[in-house]
Amino acid sequence: MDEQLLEIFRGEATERLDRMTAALAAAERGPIDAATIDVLFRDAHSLKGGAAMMGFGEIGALAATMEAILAPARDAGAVAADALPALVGGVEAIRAAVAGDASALEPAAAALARLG
Amino acid sequence: VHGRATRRRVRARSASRVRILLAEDSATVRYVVAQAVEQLGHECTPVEDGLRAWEALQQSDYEVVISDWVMPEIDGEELCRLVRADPDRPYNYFIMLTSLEDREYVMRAMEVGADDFLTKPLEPHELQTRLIAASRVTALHRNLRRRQQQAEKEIQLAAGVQRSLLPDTPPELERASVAGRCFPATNVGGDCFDYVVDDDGRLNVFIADVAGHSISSALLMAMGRSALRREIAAGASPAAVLGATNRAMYADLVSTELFITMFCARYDPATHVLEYASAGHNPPLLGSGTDVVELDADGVAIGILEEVDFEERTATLAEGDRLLLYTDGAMEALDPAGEQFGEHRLHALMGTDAGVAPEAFLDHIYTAVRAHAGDTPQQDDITLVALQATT
Repeated sequence: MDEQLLEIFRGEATERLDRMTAALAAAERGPIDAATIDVLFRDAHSLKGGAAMMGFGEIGALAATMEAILAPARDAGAVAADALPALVGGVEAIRAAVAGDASALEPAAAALARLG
Repeated sequence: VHGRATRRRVRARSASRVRILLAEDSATVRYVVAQAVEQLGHECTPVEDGLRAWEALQQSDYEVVISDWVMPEIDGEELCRLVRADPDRPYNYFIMLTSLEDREYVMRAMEVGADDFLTKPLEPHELQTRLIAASRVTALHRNLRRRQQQAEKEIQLAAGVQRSLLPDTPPELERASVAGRCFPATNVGGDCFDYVVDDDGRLNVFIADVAGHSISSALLMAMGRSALRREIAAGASPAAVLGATNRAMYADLVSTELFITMFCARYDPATHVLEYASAGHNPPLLGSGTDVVELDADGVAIGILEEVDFEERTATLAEGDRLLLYTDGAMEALDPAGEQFGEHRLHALMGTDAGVAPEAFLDHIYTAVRAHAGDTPQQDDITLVALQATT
Protein backbone atom coordinates (compact mmCIF):
# COMPACT_ATOMS: atom_id res chain seq x y z
CA MET A 1 0.00 0.00 0.00
CA ASP A 2 1.21 3.44 -0.98
CA GLU A 3 2.00 5.16 2.35
CA GLN A 4 1.31 8.62 0.99
CA LEU A 5 -2.06 7.49 -0.33
CA LEU A 6 -2.96 5.93 3.01
CA GLU A 7 -2.02 9.21 4.70
CA ILE A 8 -4.22 11.16 2.32
CA PHE A 9 -7.14 8.79 2.84
CA ARG A 10 -6.82 8.94 6.64
CA GLY A 11 -6.62 12.73 6.56
CA GLU A 12 -9.65 13.08 4.29
CA ALA A 13 -11.66 10.46 6.21
CA THR A 14 -10.91 12.14 9.55
CA GLU A 15 -11.93 15.55 8.21
CA ARG A 16 -15.19 14.18 6.84
CA LEU A 17 -15.93 12.05 9.92
CA ASP A 18 -15.33 15.04 12.23
CA ARG A 19 -17.69 17.16 10.18
CA MET A 20 -20.30 14.39 10.19
CA THR A 21 -19.96 13.96 13.97
CA ALA A 22 -20.52 17.69 14.47
CA ALA A 23 -23.54 17.75 12.12
CA LEU A 24 -25.12 14.70 13.76
CA ALA A 25 -24.52 16.18 17.23
CA ALA A 26 -26.26 19.35 16.09
CA ALA A 27 -29.13 17.28 14.70
CA GLU A 28 -29.52 15.62 18.09
CA ARG A 29 -29.98 19.05 19.64
CA GLY A 30 -32.54 20.25 17.06
CA PRO A 31 -33.30 20.55 13.34
CA ILE A 32 -30.30 21.29 11.08
CA ASP A 33 -30.46 23.31 7.87
CA ALA A 34 -30.56 21.95 4.34
CA ALA A 35 -26.96 22.98 3.57
CA THR A 36 -25.68 21.01 6.57
CA ILE A 37 -27.66 17.92 5.50
CA ASP A 38 -26.26 18.30 2.01
CA VAL A 39 -22.69 18.37 3.33
CA LEU A 40 -23.51 15.35 5.53
CA PHE A 41 -24.73 13.48 2.45
CA ARG A 42 -21.72 14.46 0.37
CA ASP A 43 -19.30 13.45 3.13
CA ALA A 44 -20.88 9.99 3.27
CA HIS A 45 -20.80 9.80 -0.52
CA SER A 46 -17.14 10.84 -0.74
CA LEU A 47 -16.15 8.45 2.04
CA LYS A 48 -17.78 5.70 0.02
CA GLY A 49 -15.84 6.70 -3.11
CA GLY A 50 -12.54 7.13 -1.29
CA ALA A 51 -12.87 3.79 0.48
CA ALA A 52 -13.79 2.08 -2.79
CA MET A 53 -10.71 3.63 -4.39
CA MET A 54 -8.57 2.25 -1.56
CA GLY A 55 -10.13 -1.18 -1.87
CA PHE A 56 -11.65 -0.87 1.61
CA GLY A 57 -14.87 -2.64 0.65
CA GLU A 58 -16.40 -2.89 4.11
CA ILE A 59 -15.88 0.78 4.93
CA GLY A 60 -17.25 1.68 1.51
CA ALA A 61 -20.32 -0.47 2.02
CA LEU A 62 -21.08 1.11 5.40
CA ALA A 63 -20.63 4.63 3.97
CA ALA A 64 -22.95 3.63 1.10
CA THR A 65 -25.63 2.55 3.58
CA MET A 66 -25.34 5.88 5.39
CA GLU A 67 -25.48 7.75 2.07
CA ALA A 68 -28.65 5.81 1.17
CA ILE A 69 -30.29 7.04 4.39
CA LEU A 70 -29.04 10.59 3.93
CA ALA A 71 -30.15 10.94 0.30
CA PRO A 72 -33.90 11.00 1.11
CA ALA A 73 -33.11 13.10 4.22
CA ARG A 74 -31.47 15.66 1.95
CA ASP A 75 -34.49 15.69 -0.35
CA ALA A 76 -36.85 16.00 2.65
CA GLY A 77 -34.71 18.67 4.30
CA ALA A 78 -34.65 16.83 7.64
CA VAL A 79 -32.86 13.89 9.26
CA ALA A 80 -35.26 11.61 11.14
CA ALA A 81 -34.42 11.65 14.85
CA ASP A 82 -34.64 7.87 15.15
CA ALA A 83 -31.93 7.47 12.49
CA LEU A 84 -29.41 9.56 14.42
CA PRO A 85 -28.01 6.90 16.83
CA ALA A 86 -27.34 4.45 14.00
CA LEU A 87 -25.72 7.19 11.88
CA VAL A 88 -23.50 8.23 14.78
CA GLY A 89 -22.64 4.56 15.26
CA GLY A 90 -21.72 4.33 11.59
CA VAL A 91 -19.41 7.33 11.79
CA GLU A 92 -17.65 5.97 14.85
CA ALA A 93 -17.28 2.51 13.32
CA ILE A 94 -15.63 4.00 10.23
CA ARG A 95 -13.41 6.18 12.39
CA ALA A 96 -12.21 3.09 14.27
CA ALA A 97 -11.75 1.13 11.04
CA VAL A 98 -9.63 3.90 9.53
CA ALA A 99 -7.48 3.74 12.67
CA GLY A 100 -7.08 -0.01 12.19
CA ASP A 101 -9.95 -1.54 14.20
CA ALA A 102 -12.64 -2.87 11.86
CA SER A 103 -14.59 -4.74 14.56
CA ALA A 104 -17.39 -2.17 14.86
CA LEU A 105 -18.22 -2.12 11.15
CA GLU A 106 -20.50 -5.13 11.15
CA PRO A 107 -22.67 -4.19 14.17
CA ALA A 108 -22.94 -0.62 12.85
CA ALA A 109 -24.07 -1.92 9.46
CA ALA A 110 -26.65 -4.12 11.17
CA ALA A 111 -27.99 -1.15 13.19
CA LEU A 112 -28.29 0.96 10.02
CA ALA A 113 -29.96 -1.91 8.19
CA ARG A 114 -32.64 -2.07 10.91
CA LEU A 115 -33.67 1.48 9.97
CA GLY A 116 -34.93 0.00 6.72
CA VAL B 1 14.06 -0.33 -10.78
CA HIS B 2 11.42 -2.72 -11.98
CA GLY B 3 8.65 -0.14 -11.35
CA ARG B 4 10.41 2.49 -13.37
CA ALA B 5 10.94 0.13 -16.28
CA THR B 6 7.25 -0.81 -16.27
CA ARG B 7 6.24 2.81 -16.19
CA ARG B 8 8.43 3.58 -19.18
CA ARG B 9 6.98 0.69 -21.12
CA VAL B 10 3.41 1.79 -20.35
CA ARG B 11 4.29 5.33 -21.33
CA ALA B 12 5.72 4.20 -24.62
CA ARG B 13 2.59 2.23 -25.34
CA SER B 14 0.10 5.05 -24.73
CA ALA B 15 -1.15 6.37 -28.04
CA SER B 16 -0.54 10.05 -27.39
CA ARG B 17 -0.24 12.38 -24.46
CA VAL B 18 -3.65 13.56 -23.39
CA ARG B 19 -4.37 16.57 -21.18
CA ILE B 20 -6.88 15.56 -18.54
CA LEU B 21 -8.86 17.71 -16.17
CA LEU B 22 -9.95 15.79 -13.09
CA ALA B 23 -12.88 17.17 -11.09
CA GLU B 24 -13.23 15.26 -7.85
CA ASP B 25 -13.89 16.46 -4.32
CA SER B 26 -12.30 13.47 -2.61
CA ALA B 27 -8.56 13.97 -2.06
CA THR B 28 -8.14 10.20 -2.00
CA VAL B 29 -9.80 9.69 -5.38
CA ARG B 30 -7.93 12.66 -6.85
CA TYR B 31 -4.61 11.19 -5.77
CA VAL B 32 -5.34 7.72 -7.12
CA VAL B 33 -6.71 8.89 -10.47
CA ALA B 34 -4.00 11.51 -11.00
CA GLN B 35 -1.32 8.96 -10.27
CA ALA B 36 -2.87 6.37 -12.59
CA VAL B 37 -3.25 8.95 -15.36
CA GLU B 38 0.33 10.14 -15.05
CA GLN B 39 1.65 6.59 -15.01
CA LEU B 40 0.01 6.14 -18.38
CA GLY B 41 2.03 9.07 -19.62
CA HIS B 42 -0.78 11.62 -19.66
CA GLU B 43 -1.05 15.01 -18.03
CA CYS B 44 -3.48 15.48 -15.14
CA THR B 45 -4.82 18.68 -13.59
CA PRO B 46 -6.83 17.84 -10.47
CA VAL B 47 -9.43 20.28 -9.11
CA GLU B 48 -11.78 19.95 -6.14
CA ASP B 49 -15.17 20.70 -7.61
CA GLY B 50 -17.19 21.44 -10.71
CA LEU B 51 -16.90 25.20 -10.45
CA ARG B 52 -13.11 25.06 -10.38
CA ALA B 53 -13.25 22.59 -13.26
CA TRP B 54 -15.39 24.95 -15.33
CA GLU B 55 -13.01 27.82 -14.57
CA ALA B 56 -10.02 25.66 -15.54
CA LEU B 57 -11.74 24.82 -18.84
CA GLN B 58 -11.97 28.55 -19.62
CA GLN B 59 -8.25 28.98 -18.88
CA SER B 60 -6.69 26.06 -20.70
CA ASP B 61 -7.49 23.33 -23.11
CA TYR B 62 -8.05 19.75 -22.00
CA GLU B 63 -8.88 16.87 -24.28
CA VAL B 64 -10.51 14.88 -21.51
CA VAL B 65 -12.57 15.69 -18.44
CA ILE B 66 -12.86 13.02 -15.78
CA SER B 67 -15.54 14.11 -13.35
CA ASP B 68 -17.10 12.92 -10.15
CA TRP B 69 -20.89 13.15 -9.97
CA VAL B 70 -21.56 14.47 -6.46
CA MET B 71 -19.57 17.64 -5.86
CA PRO B 72 -20.16 20.96 -4.13
CA GLU B 73 -20.95 24.09 -6.19
CA ILE B 74 -21.30 22.61 -9.68
CA ASP B 75 -21.84 18.86 -9.75
CA GLY B 76 -20.80 16.46 -12.49
CA GLU B 77 -24.12 16.62 -14.32
CA GLU B 78 -24.09 20.41 -14.43
CA LEU B 79 -20.43 20.48 -15.48
CA CYS B 80 -21.22 18.11 -18.34
CA ARG B 81 -24.16 20.27 -19.41
CA LEU B 82 -21.96 23.38 -19.40
CA VAL B 83 -19.29 21.66 -21.48
CA ARG B 84 -21.84 20.48 -24.03
CA ALA B 85 -23.87 23.73 -24.09
CA ASP B 86 -21.27 25.58 -26.15
CA PRO B 87 -20.88 23.91 -29.54
CA ASP B 88 -17.98 26.21 -30.42
CA ARG B 89 -15.64 24.91 -27.74
CA PRO B 90 -12.97 22.40 -28.72
CA TYR B 91 -14.28 18.93 -27.98
CA ASN B 92 -13.84 17.52 -24.47
CA TYR B 93 -14.21 13.79 -24.03
CA PHE B 94 -16.24 13.59 -20.85
CA ILE B 95 -15.82 10.61 -18.52
CA MET B 96 -18.04 10.28 -15.44
CA LEU B 97 -16.39 8.74 -12.42
CA THR B 98 -18.88 6.98 -10.17
CA SER B 99 -19.04 4.31 -7.53
CA LEU B 100 -20.34 0.90 -8.51
CA GLU B 101 -23.51 1.58 -6.49
CA ASP B 102 -24.18 4.73 -8.49
CA ARG B 103 -24.80 3.11 -11.86
CA GLU B 104 -28.08 5.03 -12.10
CA TYR B 105 -26.01 8.21 -12.49
CA VAL B 106 -24.25 6.74 -15.49
CA MET B 107 -27.38 6.76 -17.64
CA ARG B 108 -28.19 10.32 -16.62
CA ALA B 109 -24.62 11.35 -17.35
CA MET B 110 -24.69 9.80 -20.81
CA GLU B 111 -27.97 11.56 -21.49
CA VAL B 112 -26.56 14.99 -20.68
CA GLY B 113 -23.56 14.38 -22.93
CA ALA B 114 -20.96 12.25 -21.17
CA ASP B 115 -18.99 9.97 -23.50
CA ASP B 116 -18.05 7.25 -21.08
CA PHE B 117 -17.80 6.29 -17.42
CA LEU B 118 -15.36 4.77 -14.97
CA THR B 119 -16.17 3.15 -11.67
CA LYS B 120 -14.45 3.25 -8.32
CA PRO B 121 -12.31 1.36 -7.46
CA LEU B 122 -10.33 2.36 -10.49
CA GLU B 123 -8.92 -0.39 -12.69
CA PRO B 124 -5.78 1.03 -14.34
CA HIS B 125 -6.45 -1.14 -17.37
CA GLU B 126 -9.97 0.27 -17.70
CA LEU B 127 -8.60 3.78 -17.45
CA GLN B 128 -6.05 3.03 -20.13
CA THR B 129 -8.61 1.65 -22.58
CA ARG B 130 -10.97 4.61 -21.97
CA LEU B 131 -8.16 7.07 -22.63
CA ILE B 132 -7.19 5.36 -25.87
CA ALA B 133 -10.77 5.83 -27.10
CA ALA B 134 -10.84 9.36 -25.67
CA SER B 135 -7.68 10.32 -27.48
CA ARG B 136 -8.99 8.98 -30.78
CA VAL B 137 -12.46 10.52 -30.52
CA THR B 138 -11.15 13.89 -29.37
CA ALA B 139 -8.59 14.00 -32.18
CA LEU B 140 -11.31 13.17 -34.70
CA HIS B 141 -13.68 15.82 -33.37
CA ARG B 142 -11.00 18.46 -33.31
CA ASN B 143 -9.71 17.54 -36.73
CA LEU B 144 -13.20 17.95 -38.16
CA ARG B 145 -13.60 21.26 -36.41
CA ARG B 146 -10.26 22.50 -37.71
CA ARG B 147 -11.17 21.52 -41.26
CA GLN B 148 -14.57 23.13 -40.93
CA GLN B 149 -13.02 26.35 -39.67
CA GLN B 150 -10.51 26.24 -42.52
CA ALA B 151 -13.30 25.74 -45.06
CA GLU B 152 -15.33 28.56 -43.53
CA LYS B 153 -12.31 30.85 -43.63
CA GLU B 154 -11.73 30.05 -47.29
CA ILE B 155 -15.38 30.74 -48.09
CA GLN B 156 -15.08 34.06 -46.25
CA LEU B 157 -12.05 34.92 -48.36
CA ALA B 158 -13.89 33.92 -51.53
CA ALA B 159 -16.87 36.02 -50.43
CA GLY B 160 -14.55 38.98 -49.92
CA VAL B 161 -13.12 38.57 -53.41
CA GLN B 162 -16.60 38.23 -54.82
CA ARG B 163 -17.85 41.36 -53.06
CA SER B 164 -14.88 43.24 -54.47
CA LEU B 165 -16.08 42.33 -57.98
CA LEU B 166 -19.30 44.28 -57.46
CA PRO B 167 -19.14 48.00 -58.18
CA ASP B 168 -18.75 50.20 -55.09
CA THR B 169 -20.45 53.31 -56.36
CA PRO B 170 -22.57 53.86 -59.45
CA PRO B 171 -21.25 56.09 -62.22
CA GLU B 172 -22.30 59.74 -62.26
CA LEU B 173 -24.39 60.39 -65.35
CA GLU B 174 -26.02 63.38 -66.88
CA ARG B 175 -29.77 62.96 -67.33
CA ALA B 176 -29.83 59.56 -65.65
CA SER B 177 -29.06 58.03 -62.32
CA VAL B 178 -28.38 54.42 -61.51
CA ALA B 179 -27.86 52.26 -58.42
CA GLY B 180 -27.32 48.59 -57.71
CA ARG B 181 -27.37 46.30 -54.70
CA CYS B 182 -26.55 42.66 -54.09
CA PHE B 183 -27.67 40.84 -50.94
CA PRO B 184 -26.20 37.32 -50.98
CA ALA B 185 -28.15 34.56 -49.23
CA THR B 186 -24.99 32.87 -48.00
CA ASN B 187 -21.39 33.98 -47.87
CA VAL B 188 -20.84 33.41 -51.55
CA GLY B 189 -23.47 33.86 -54.21
CA GLY B 190 -24.13 33.44 -57.86
CA ASP B 191 -25.54 36.90 -58.59
CA CYS B 192 -23.76 39.87 -60.00
CA PHE B 193 -24.34 43.19 -61.69
CA ASP B 194 -22.13 45.89 -63.10
CA TYR B 195 -22.18 49.14 -65.04
CA VAL B 196 -19.77 50.36 -67.67
CA VAL B 197 -19.95 53.80 -69.23
CA ASP B 198 -18.52 53.69 -72.75
CA ASP B 199 -16.66 56.40 -74.71
CA ASP B 200 -19.91 57.70 -76.17
CA GLY B 201 -21.32 58.33 -72.67
CA ARG B 202 -23.72 55.41 -72.88
CA LEU B 203 -24.41 53.37 -69.79
CA ASN B 204 -23.99 49.63 -70.22
CA VAL B 205 -25.59 47.73 -67.38
CA PHE B 206 -25.96 44.02 -66.79
CA ILE B 207 -27.37 41.69 -64.18
CA ALA B 208 -26.68 37.95 -64.01
CA ASP B 209 -27.79 35.01 -61.90
CA VAL B 210 -25.86 31.74 -61.84
CA ALA B 211 -27.93 28.75 -60.76
CA GLY B 212 -27.14 27.95 -57.12
CA HIS B 213 -25.12 29.89 -54.60
CA SER B 214 -22.12 27.68 -54.03
CA ILE B 215 -18.41 28.20 -54.61
CA SER B 216 -18.82 26.92 -58.18
CA SER B 217 -21.61 29.45 -58.81
CA ALA B 218 -19.32 32.17 -57.49
CA LEU B 219 -16.49 31.11 -59.80
CA LEU B 220 -18.80 31.06 -62.82
CA MET B 221 -20.20 34.40 -61.80
CA ALA B 222 -16.65 35.83 -61.85
CA MET B 223 -16.04 34.30 -65.30
CA GLY B 224 -19.34 35.62 -66.60
CA ARG B 225 -18.63 39.10 -65.36
CA SER B 226 -15.23 39.14 -67.09
CA ALA B 227 -16.72 37.92 -70.36
CA LEU B 228 -19.48 40.53 -70.24
CA ARG B 229 -17.13 43.38 -69.43
CA ARG B 230 -14.73 42.33 -72.19
CA GLU B 231 -17.48 42.37 -74.83
CA ILE B 232 -18.92 45.65 -73.55
CA ALA B 233 -15.45 47.23 -73.65
CA ALA B 234 -15.13 46.07 -77.26
CA GLY B 235 -18.23 48.13 -78.03
CA ALA B 236 -20.64 45.26 -78.73
CA SER B 237 -24.39 45.82 -78.54
CA PRO B 238 -26.39 44.02 -75.80
CA ALA B 239 -27.40 41.10 -78.06
CA ALA B 240 -23.83 40.73 -79.35
CA VAL B 241 -22.47 40.90 -75.80
CA LEU B 242 -24.73 38.00 -74.77
CA GLY B 243 -23.94 36.01 -77.91
CA ALA B 244 -20.19 36.30 -77.36
CA THR B 245 -20.52 35.57 -73.66
CA ASN B 246 -22.52 32.43 -74.44
CA ARG B 247 -19.86 31.24 -76.88
CA ALA B 248 -17.09 31.95 -74.36
CA MET B 249 -18.77 30.14 -71.48
CA TYR B 250 -20.85 27.41 -73.10
CA ALA B 251 -18.33 24.56 -72.74
CA ASP B 252 -17.57 25.32 -69.10
CA LEU B 253 -21.23 25.64 -68.17
CA VAL B 254 -22.17 22.39 -69.89
CA SER B 255 -19.43 20.50 -68.06
CA THR B 256 -20.53 21.92 -64.68
CA GLU B 257 -24.21 21.41 -65.55
CA LEU B 258 -24.94 25.01 -64.57
CA PHE B 259 -26.40 27.91 -66.50
CA ILE B 260 -26.56 31.66 -66.10
CA THR B 261 -29.43 34.00 -66.83
CA MET B 262 -28.37 37.49 -67.89
CA PHE B 263 -29.92 40.74 -68.90
CA CYS B 264 -27.79 43.28 -70.69
CA ALA B 265 -28.80 46.83 -71.60
CA ARG B 266 -27.22 49.95 -73.07
CA TYR B 267 -28.77 53.29 -72.29
CA ASP B 268 -28.01 56.56 -74.00
CA PRO B 269 -28.96 59.44 -71.67
CA ALA B 270 -28.77 61.86 -74.58
CA THR B 271 -31.53 60.14 -76.55
CA HIS B 272 -33.19 58.22 -73.70
CA VAL B 273 -33.00 55.13 -75.89
CA LEU B 274 -32.49 51.81 -74.16
CA GLU B 275 -31.23 48.82 -76.15
CA TYR B 276 -31.53 45.49 -74.39
CA ALA B 277 -31.21 41.74 -74.73
CA SER B 278 -31.99 38.89 -72.37
CA ALA B 279 -30.55 35.43 -71.79
CA GLY B 280 -33.56 33.87 -70.11
CA HIS B 281 -33.49 36.43 -67.31
CA ASN B 282 -36.53 37.67 -65.36
CA PRO B 283 -37.89 40.51 -67.51
CA PRO B 284 -36.92 43.84 -65.95
CA LEU B 285 -39.75 46.24 -65.17
CA LEU B 286 -40.08 49.62 -66.79
CA GLY B 287 -42.25 51.98 -64.79
CA SER B 288 -43.73 55.05 -66.37
CA GLY B 289 -46.00 56.81 -63.89
CA THR B 290 -48.29 54.03 -62.70
CA ASP B 291 -47.82 51.97 -65.88
CA VAL B 292 -45.45 49.04 -65.60
CA VAL B 293 -44.26 47.00 -68.55
CA GLU B 294 -41.95 44.00 -68.68
CA LEU B 295 -38.92 44.24 -70.94
CA ASP B 296 -38.58 40.81 -72.43
CA ALA B 297 -36.52 39.73 -75.40
CA ASP B 298 -36.01 36.25 -76.87
CA GLY B 299 -32.97 34.33 -75.78
CA VAL B 300 -32.21 31.31 -73.61
CA ALA B 301 -29.94 31.26 -70.59
CA ILE B 302 -26.18 31.18 -71.12
CA GLY B 303 -24.89 27.61 -71.25
CA ILE B 304 -28.05 25.95 -72.63
CA LEU B 305 -27.37 26.06 -76.38
CA GLU B 306 -24.04 26.33 -78.14
CA GLU B 307 -25.19 29.07 -80.50
CA VAL B 308 -27.98 31.51 -79.61
CA ASP B 309 -29.30 34.35 -81.70
CA PHE B 310 -30.28 36.84 -79.00
CA GLU B 311 -33.05 39.25 -79.89
CA GLU B 312 -32.26 42.90 -79.36
CA ARG B 313 -35.02 45.35 -78.59
CA THR B 314 -35.21 49.02 -77.80
CA ALA B 315 -37.37 51.19 -75.58
CA THR B 316 -37.45 54.93 -75.17
CA LEU B 317 -37.62 56.28 -71.67
CA ALA B 318 -39.45 59.43 -70.68
CA GLU B 319 -38.19 61.70 -67.95
CA GLY B 320 -38.85 60.12 -64.56
CA ASP B 321 -39.26 56.62 -66.01
CA ARG B 322 -37.70 53.96 -63.91
CA LEU B 323 -36.15 50.66 -64.92
CA LEU B 324 -35.74 47.85 -62.39
CA LEU B 325 -33.46 44.88 -63.04
CA TYR B 326 -33.72 42.10 -60.51
CA THR B 327 -32.83 38.46 -59.87
CA ASP B 328 -35.42 35.89 -58.86
CA GLY B 329 -34.28 35.93 -55.22
CA ALA B 330 -36.44 39.02 -54.77
CA MET B 331 -39.56 37.62 -56.38
CA GLU B 332 -39.27 34.15 -54.88
CA ALA B 333 -38.67 35.26 -51.28
CA LEU B 334 -41.04 33.20 -49.15
CA ASP B 335 -43.05 34.38 -46.18
CA PRO B 336 -43.46 32.07 -43.14
CA ALA B 337 -46.59 30.58 -44.77
CA GLY B 338 -44.59 29.71 -47.89
CA GLU B 339 -46.06 32.40 -50.16
CA GLN B 340 -43.71 34.08 -52.62
CA PHE B 341 -43.17 37.83 -52.66
CA GLY B 342 -44.25 37.56 -56.27
CA GLU B 343 -44.21 39.65 -59.39
CA HIS B 344 -47.41 41.49 -58.46
CA ARG B 345 -45.83 42.99 -55.33
CA LEU B 346 -42.78 44.05 -57.32
CA HIS B 347 -45.08 45.62 -59.94
CA ALA B 348 -47.00 47.46 -57.25
CA LEU B 349 -43.79 48.89 -55.79
CA MET B 350 -42.79 50.31 -59.20
CA GLY B 351 -45.51 52.91 -59.03
CA THR B 352 -44.51 54.14 -55.56
CA ASP B 353 -41.87 56.61 -54.44
CA ALA B 354 -42.00 58.45 -57.77
CA GLY B 355 -39.53 61.15 -56.77
CA VAL B 356 -37.16 58.88 -54.93
CA ALA B 357 -33.64 58.34 -56.26
CA PRO B 358 -32.71 54.81 -57.43
CA GLU B 359 -30.57 54.07 -54.40
CA ALA B 360 -33.35 54.74 -51.88
CA PHE B 361 -35.85 52.99 -54.14
CA LEU B 362 -33.77 49.79 -54.00
CA ASP B 363 -33.65 50.01 -50.22
CA HIS B 364 -37.45 50.24 -50.20
CA ILE B 365 -37.76 47.12 -52.32
CA TYR B 366 -35.32 45.15 -50.24
CA THR B 367 -37.04 46.26 -47.03
CA ALA B 368 -40.40 45.20 -48.47
CA VAL B 369 -39.03 41.80 -49.48
CA ARG B 370 -37.51 41.20 -46.05
CA ALA B 371 -40.69 42.39 -44.33
CA HIS B 372 -42.65 39.87 -46.40
CA ALA B 373 -40.20 37.07 -45.49
CA GLY B 374 -40.33 37.86 -41.77
CA ASP B 375 -38.28 35.25 -39.89
CA THR B 376 -37.85 33.06 -42.96
CA PRO B 377 -34.15 33.05 -43.83
CA GLN B 378 -33.18 34.44 -47.22
CA GLN B 379 -33.04 31.46 -49.58
CA ASP B 380 -31.46 33.03 -52.63
CA ASP B 381 -29.31 36.01 -53.51
CA ILE B 382 -31.26 39.19 -54.09
CA THR B 383 -29.77 41.59 -56.62
CA LEU B 384 -31.43 44.80 -57.74
CA VAL B 385 -30.41 47.51 -60.18
CA ALA B 386 -32.46 50.64 -60.81
CA LEU B 387 -32.01 53.18 -63.57
CA GLN B 388 -33.95 56.42 -63.77
CA ALA B 389 -34.17 58.94 -66.57
CA THR B 390 -33.75 62.45 -65.17
CA THR B 391 -33.57 65.95 -66.50
